[in-house]
Amino acid sequence: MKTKFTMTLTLFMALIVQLTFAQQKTVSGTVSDENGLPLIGATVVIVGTSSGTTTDFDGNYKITASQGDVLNFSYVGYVSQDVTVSNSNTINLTLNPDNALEEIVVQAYRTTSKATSNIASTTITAQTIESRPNASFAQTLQGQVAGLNITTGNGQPGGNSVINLRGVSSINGNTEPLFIIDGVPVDEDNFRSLNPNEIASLSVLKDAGATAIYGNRGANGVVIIETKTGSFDSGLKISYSGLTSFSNLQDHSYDLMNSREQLQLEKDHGSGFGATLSDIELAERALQSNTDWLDVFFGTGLTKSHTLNLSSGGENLNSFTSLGFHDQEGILKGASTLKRFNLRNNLNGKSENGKFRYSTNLSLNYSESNEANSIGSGAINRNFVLGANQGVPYISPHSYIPGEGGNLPVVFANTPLFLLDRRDTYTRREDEIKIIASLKASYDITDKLTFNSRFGADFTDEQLLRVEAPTSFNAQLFAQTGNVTPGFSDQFSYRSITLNFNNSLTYTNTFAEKHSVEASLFTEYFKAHYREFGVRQEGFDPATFYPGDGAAYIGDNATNDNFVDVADATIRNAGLFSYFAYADYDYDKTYGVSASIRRDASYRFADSNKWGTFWSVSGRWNVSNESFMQNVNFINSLKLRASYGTAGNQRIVDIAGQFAPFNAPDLTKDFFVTGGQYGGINGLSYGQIGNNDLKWETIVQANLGIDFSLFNNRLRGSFDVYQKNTEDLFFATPISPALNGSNQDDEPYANNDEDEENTLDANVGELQNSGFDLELHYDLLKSTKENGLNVTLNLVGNYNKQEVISLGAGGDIPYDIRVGGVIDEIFAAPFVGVNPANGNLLYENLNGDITEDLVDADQRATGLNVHPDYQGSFGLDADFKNFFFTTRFNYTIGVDAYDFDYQGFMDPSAIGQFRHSRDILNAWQQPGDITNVPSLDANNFADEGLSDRHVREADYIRLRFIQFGYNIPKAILDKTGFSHIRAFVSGENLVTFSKWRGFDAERIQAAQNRYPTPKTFSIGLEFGF
Amino acid sequence: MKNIFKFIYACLILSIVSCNDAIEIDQPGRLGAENAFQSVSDLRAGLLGAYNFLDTTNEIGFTAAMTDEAFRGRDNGGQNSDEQNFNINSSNGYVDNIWESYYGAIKMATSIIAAAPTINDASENQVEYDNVLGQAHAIRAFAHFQILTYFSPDYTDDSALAGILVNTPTADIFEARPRSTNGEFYTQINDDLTAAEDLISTSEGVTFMGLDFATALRARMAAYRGQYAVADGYAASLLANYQIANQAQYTAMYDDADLTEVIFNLERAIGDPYDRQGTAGGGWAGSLFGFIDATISGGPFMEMSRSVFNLLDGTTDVRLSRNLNVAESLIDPTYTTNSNFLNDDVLLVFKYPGGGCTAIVK
Repeated sequence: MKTKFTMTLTLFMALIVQLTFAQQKTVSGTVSDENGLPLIGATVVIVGTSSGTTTDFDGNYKITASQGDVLNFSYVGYVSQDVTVSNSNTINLTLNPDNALEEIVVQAYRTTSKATSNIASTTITAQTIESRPNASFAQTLQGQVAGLNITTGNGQPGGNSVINLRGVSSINGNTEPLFIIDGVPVDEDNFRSLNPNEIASLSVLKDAGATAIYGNRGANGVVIIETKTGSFDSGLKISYSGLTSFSNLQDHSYDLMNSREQLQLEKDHGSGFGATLSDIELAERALQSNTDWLDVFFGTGLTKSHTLNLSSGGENLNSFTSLGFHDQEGILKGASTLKRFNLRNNLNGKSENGKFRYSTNLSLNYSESNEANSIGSGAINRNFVLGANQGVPYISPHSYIPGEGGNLPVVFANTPLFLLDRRDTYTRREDEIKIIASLKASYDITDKLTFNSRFGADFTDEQLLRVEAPTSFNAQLFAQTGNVTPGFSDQFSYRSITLNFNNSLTYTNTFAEKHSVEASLFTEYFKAHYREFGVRQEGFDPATFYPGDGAAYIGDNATNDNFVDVADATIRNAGLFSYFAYADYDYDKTYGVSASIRRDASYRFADSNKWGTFWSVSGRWNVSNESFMQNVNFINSLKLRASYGTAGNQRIVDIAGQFAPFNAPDLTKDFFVTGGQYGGINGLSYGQIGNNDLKWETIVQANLGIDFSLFNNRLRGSFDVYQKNTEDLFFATPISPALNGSNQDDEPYANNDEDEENTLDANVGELQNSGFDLELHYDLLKSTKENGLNVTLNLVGNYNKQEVISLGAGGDIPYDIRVGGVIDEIFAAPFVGVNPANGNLLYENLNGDITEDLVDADQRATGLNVHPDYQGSFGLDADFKNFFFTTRFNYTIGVDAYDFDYQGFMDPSAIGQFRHSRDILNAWQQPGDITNVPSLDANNFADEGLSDRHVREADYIRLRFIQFGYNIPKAILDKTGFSHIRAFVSGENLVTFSKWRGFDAERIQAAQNRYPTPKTFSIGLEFGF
Repeated sequence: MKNIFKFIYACLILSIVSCNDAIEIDQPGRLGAENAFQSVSDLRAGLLGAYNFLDTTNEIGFTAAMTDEAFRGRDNGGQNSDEQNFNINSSNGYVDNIWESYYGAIKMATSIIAAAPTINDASENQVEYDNVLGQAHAIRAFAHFQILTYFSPDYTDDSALAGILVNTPTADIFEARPRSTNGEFYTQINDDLTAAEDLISTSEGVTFMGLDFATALRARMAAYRGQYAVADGYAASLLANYQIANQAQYTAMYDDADLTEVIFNLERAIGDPYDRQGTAGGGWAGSLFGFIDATISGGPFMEMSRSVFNLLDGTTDVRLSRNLNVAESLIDPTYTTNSNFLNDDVLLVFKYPGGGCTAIVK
């Protein structure tokens, strides 16, 4: 519709331009859009005259002008440009979209223009999402939206990112925004199967005015994703984009020991292999083998990605089809891959009279991933990263003979060999089918009344295969005595479908020209189903063994129970029902108010507080439209916004990960479970202690904002301040395990390490997040000449301050969380150094005294945590002639975490087992030594865990993205039939400035031996015809 | 166009009528607490659930690490360092597990005892009903006694604090109850044992608590309280039926191959919840000393302490051959001066042979 409107308007404008004929030269050229596609009907006028012309269907124009004349090129929705006529007779020009003026703002269930939007939101276009090497678009989004904090603590291709909008809003519950793709709410923890190149726009709705209408799912903000579509009355357009990327491990600065140093440390300390060697033997061994296990387990990951898009449109039907293939290797060699295939088809159709419109979006996705598990764990036989980081250098990878893993001696120093064996013999594969489909239909009952219906489904089918080969170290090690055919195979099927059905009636009208009204009524029905089943087979015959195939399966026998298979199955269902209304009033595009109200019912609270009501009001004042502003020339547009309202969070228990929405389905109920066996007979035991007063967490949010565009639109931006209070915060309230027993959690996919036995979660607390979002774009250089230099500076920032306001009757949980503190706060006593007299660690106790002996109570609140105070990005976009250049630096400030990797490298009890940092050589040796590294024999290491010895600042500035490319000039393309050809090189995470010594300053967990995100170098090619 | 209106009405009606099926959802496989105990067989199932909470390996691990029975071994990666340094607080794994497993058993036993009067088919199955109820009392007595054993500062002082006394289910889940005294505990334990003795009429074998178990617990309790004459009386009555094991029998007992002096032992089977649990996770006690097993390559992280070994060394005490893997242990007489004693003097605890792992994860 917009396109058609634009066209009409352009033609109309063309008519009022009088054509003139003077005695001057002819200037000609092509006007194209930011993608290099011709702009049809763009206006070209000689400034100061009424002479002008319009471009033809190929974007070409001819105009007669004299040297020194200034030509003005304009097109509705694009920024006008002035170019002075030089001695050249050709002027080709690219017009850029005018984001400040006519940008469409996507809102809940509707769109508005930027000027008439009352809400705080940011829209990201396809341009910034496409052609990035990240398998998940969430990673690409990082730093691009003010207030949206995205952390990817996992280098696995397509790995999940933690996404928080304006601070962490809940302690136990889901804190990630609601993601809606083409109207379908989707699982926010699984984007690995989706192709980012299909996305047309992505809008982040932030304030209550925008999200309250999503009721019990809108508490953490909403991200609305729309995929690309075709347009009516357009020819076939084909475009291709391809990307090849090389990923590598980021650097660390732990200063790790080489083989000789490690052996000498062992010898000096009298433990491990080094202690058994003479000086000569030690030197020989160090020469023989000096392995950096990081180089053995990590390497270059190659990524190949191809997307082919086709679009076309007739009078009443248009279509967009996309085919994608993506093949990515993680940097963890041989244990981390993702392959996916995508097919999308979007259709739009309408009736002859335009009264009935419909669209379908169908996305079929298949992915195969090999995702290393046990990452971050302390399992020396499972966690590859443990072997890479901590493997001792004097052991050679050649000590592992493929197929002979079962014979490896079980000592810690052999850790990397166990893991080499596991890499060879262990299979882990997830095959996933993901289908996202939606159908939308609209019918104009009258001019003013429209009925809309939208039905959507998100279907996921995941097949997990996990196999431990019979000859592997692990299988042999765990084999029961006498079992010569060990090994196991897990084959599990997980399937979920969520269905969303939304119907609405919308009334729009304009009275007396200046009064516009829009009002809508909605109902929404949501239902979701989860099915899981699987079996663990024990025992394979090595002769016929193949992972996933049953030929080698060993059956159960009468002699022992070594080959008994274990089966598993789970069914969960979920549902929501809502009805809601929305109204918007505008006066002369200068004043506007909106209100929404929503009644929600959740299956989770069916027995307690079934219905919840959420509402919002918002308003705006377009100051720049006032008559008194007409003489203020440097202001192009200025708008003030305010909103206040509530939204709910019904996912009050959220264990991150796929299928998490099905967790905690009936916490209101007391129940018993069967299955605890004694003497081989099934028993009965209490399962869950119910909380019959359970309800939503409610987020009350106030927002004040200003949108502006100044100095000929050269400075554009917005600034928002917000305060967000989470009320009825679901929080662990202490209960007596003596009176209630331990609260057994039977959810099979729960991996919550919280000590649930001592607590029961209840709606008791309150949490506040407050801060501001800032977004600024400034055109530093804006050339008036064709092929001139244009430079735009960008800044995106957020400051968020968090405070726990109440934790209910139970109050503070010692050394965990406190009123007045923050989520994930670090509680520790200061480590103040090493006692020069005896080499013991010195700490400061609660009284401020220096002590060698800490007690629990000496741990104190530090106010530090892993969530940033300030975060965002800055960078520039530049183009000159046909070259373009983009950089983006991401930054976080106020992040602190335990450096457990470093702690591992400094642990004297691991000498002889694992690798160390050279820093440990500074250890205290004799009385009088002044050092901050304790004696290796210090007897109070046990108290170290109560201290801040290994807390480190993890603030960083990172060159998150840099790109340099070239568009083949139009003049050359015209002869080839291509509409555009573009080539570029880009880099991700190339440089990081941080005090953090580890591989990756960006990681949400403080755990040891995790899989760092890589740095990536890419080459890309795009063309269309 | 009329069809369109029909469609719209249909949609609107559908979306309102069907709302309840999205909200009133009962998850499958749930057994509501109110329906848990309806028959004697449900009580029996609950009793098995109560037995399933009992696990004495936490006590074994804690005691071995706290006392000089065991010392950090060759492959120790920090295991039990808190216990060896007497650094014990409320978050200690052993402490937590002892408290929670016994109170889990108490909750189950109390639930059975509270539900028993409402059972309909009690009179048809009176013997079974009485046996189940009696054993529930016995489990509750034992669990309270273990709590007292590990949390009371002085067994002989009746006014010292024990744990929290639980003899009825709590109605308020947020209730906080103060600790009771030893005296109150002893009274409750005696009451429960009396009830057990009144109800239990048949023995169900050595893996279920019978009358002899009740007598044995009375004997132990009296001994702990310093009432040695009383303890002696109970012990004498049991010794008539249970001989003290000879050396061969004693050795076989730890291989589950001899029951000469066993009054009660917990049944452990392959595939039960205690099968192959990790360090301090309970279940298999061997995992408290070696990551894999009690051999030289089994990852010994806790070894027999030298002070214990030196007492036994050179004697024919069965505890030497039973508690130490003599064949595979490395014994270095120069252990006091050898700086590499950790690798050269490896004393493998052999009391609980078996298989399992922890830093190595199954």
